Amino acid sequence: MSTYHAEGPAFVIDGDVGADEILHPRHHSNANIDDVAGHCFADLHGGAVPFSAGTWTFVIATGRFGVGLVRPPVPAAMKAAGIAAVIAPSISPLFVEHSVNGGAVLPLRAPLPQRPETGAIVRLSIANGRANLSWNGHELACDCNLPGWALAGETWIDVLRRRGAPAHA
Amino acid sequence: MGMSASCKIIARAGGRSQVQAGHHVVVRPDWAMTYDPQAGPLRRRLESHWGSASRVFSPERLILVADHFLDLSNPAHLEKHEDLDRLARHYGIRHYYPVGSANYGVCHALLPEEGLVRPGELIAGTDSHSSTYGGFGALGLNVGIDALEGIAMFGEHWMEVPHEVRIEISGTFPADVTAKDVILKLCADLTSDPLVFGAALELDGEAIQALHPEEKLTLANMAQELGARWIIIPASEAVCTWVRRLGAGGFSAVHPDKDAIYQKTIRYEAADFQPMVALPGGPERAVPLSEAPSTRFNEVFVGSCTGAKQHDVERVLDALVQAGRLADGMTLFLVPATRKIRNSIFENPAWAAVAGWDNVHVANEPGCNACAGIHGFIAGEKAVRMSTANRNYAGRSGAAGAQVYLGSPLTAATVATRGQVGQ
Repeated sequence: MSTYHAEGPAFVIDGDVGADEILHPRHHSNANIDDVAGHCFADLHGGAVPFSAGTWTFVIATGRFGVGLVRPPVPAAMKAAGIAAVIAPSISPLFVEHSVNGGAVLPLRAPLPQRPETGAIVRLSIANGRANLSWNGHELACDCNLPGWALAGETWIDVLRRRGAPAHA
Repeated sequence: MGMSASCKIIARAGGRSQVQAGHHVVVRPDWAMTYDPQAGPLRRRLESHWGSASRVFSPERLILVADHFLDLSNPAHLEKHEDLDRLARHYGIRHYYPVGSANYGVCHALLPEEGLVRPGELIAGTDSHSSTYGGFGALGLNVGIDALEGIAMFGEHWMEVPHEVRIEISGTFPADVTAKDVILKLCADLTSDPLVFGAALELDGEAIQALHPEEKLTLANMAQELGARWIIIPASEAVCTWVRRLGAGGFSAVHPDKDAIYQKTIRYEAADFQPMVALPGGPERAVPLSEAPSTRFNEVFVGSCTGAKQHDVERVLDALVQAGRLADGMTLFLVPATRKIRNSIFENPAWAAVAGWDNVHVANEPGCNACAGIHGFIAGEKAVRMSTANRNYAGRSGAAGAQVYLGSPLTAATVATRGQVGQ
């Protein structure tokens, strides 16, 4: 499958977003994913920007997303909080790898010409390597070369398991 | 089209003739490393997804290291070592370095010492400082535990080729400038550069290539602190000779093509570098030592993969032998990065004498110790500490109130004997 569609409200963050602001390292070892979801973005900009899990479909950042040390629990927390995709002009490659490998949120690098307001309903469609975003009458098209299995929400391990057990095993 | 050193390694590992930034590639790492913090999660993933009777793809290419949780009187730490041991024995891992083996210690100092870091190879590691291997012209890739599962079972890893930035430093560094000073200055200058964020950094130039091989490891070690995906220093003949002397052979160093494409090339003159110190809060807060606010220290920590390799420890101990004593009120904590390095201290009479000074504490176990803030010489609330480690965010090395500065081994030795920086 190489298509993707999501629609829902966006949580918009101005400026850069540190990995520790997405999920503080003190929660990285927490195996309770529901609990972790509640801590997602709790440290954003010193706790000044309220975020509630289960409310938002998209996170949109206007700066660099995932600055600092990104570990796999970081994108996993976003997924647990109900986020389907993160959109930013620049996303940490380590965030992209962890998120795609782990089947977490879809990372889309897109320079938004207009900043949506938090709460705007965003539509994202991806097909044939192109992403189309729209919100409040604005539209943006850009390249998106994520693999089909990532668009289908699979993990890299799912892809490997579909091959069956390896011959050596 | 020409390729950078990183792209050549990725292309070879991915079975392609050509890769460039933005490509998604499935690579076959030459080596994969994990350690005590991740042994339990990896073992549980392998058993639950593949069954307890499964075997890994290439047991001779997996490396297991014990270096973080070394307080074996703590049941939680001991459990991690039991997990590591179960993993090693169940899957027949040959390169297994538990506490007490002939050589063990911090993974990013141990692997180079053991000849497991070879120019031109791709090494995946579940630690954020896996980029260290770039100092020997390898590609050190930080991966997550789920990615390591795929590598363990199939030998494959999905990755994105990042954009590339080349940094060239020409000329000759001043005599008092070390690799740690260089990387601290780069952190200060470039951490906020949007193009450096997430980039594969290729570090080169005559000043870089003239550095001691272990100094190159120090440079590559702090890629993550710089915001880069990794750092690679194309391997010189001196590095290749060094690696061969460590017992490694059969490798092929790669060098960038003259027409390789970089998003940006940043040029420096080596003469513009000077000793640096990172103020508490992060490596990006580095300032020239000559401009640092006057500060009285009560502790020096010489440890970590960044600052306690053989070359680092030798410089510190030689400086201390020359000085003859610690500053009043000073405590020196020395955590050699590997057992071999620790042994070398006590085999040298002059160094062994320093280790016996009052207020000098040499760790029994080589490991990450206070660098990771897990155990050992943790900084207390009243500590004003000069550290050779790579991070000094609040609470990283101990109490949130500890004031931890970062410096080179030479700076650490100077602080240990003078007790202060600034006037």
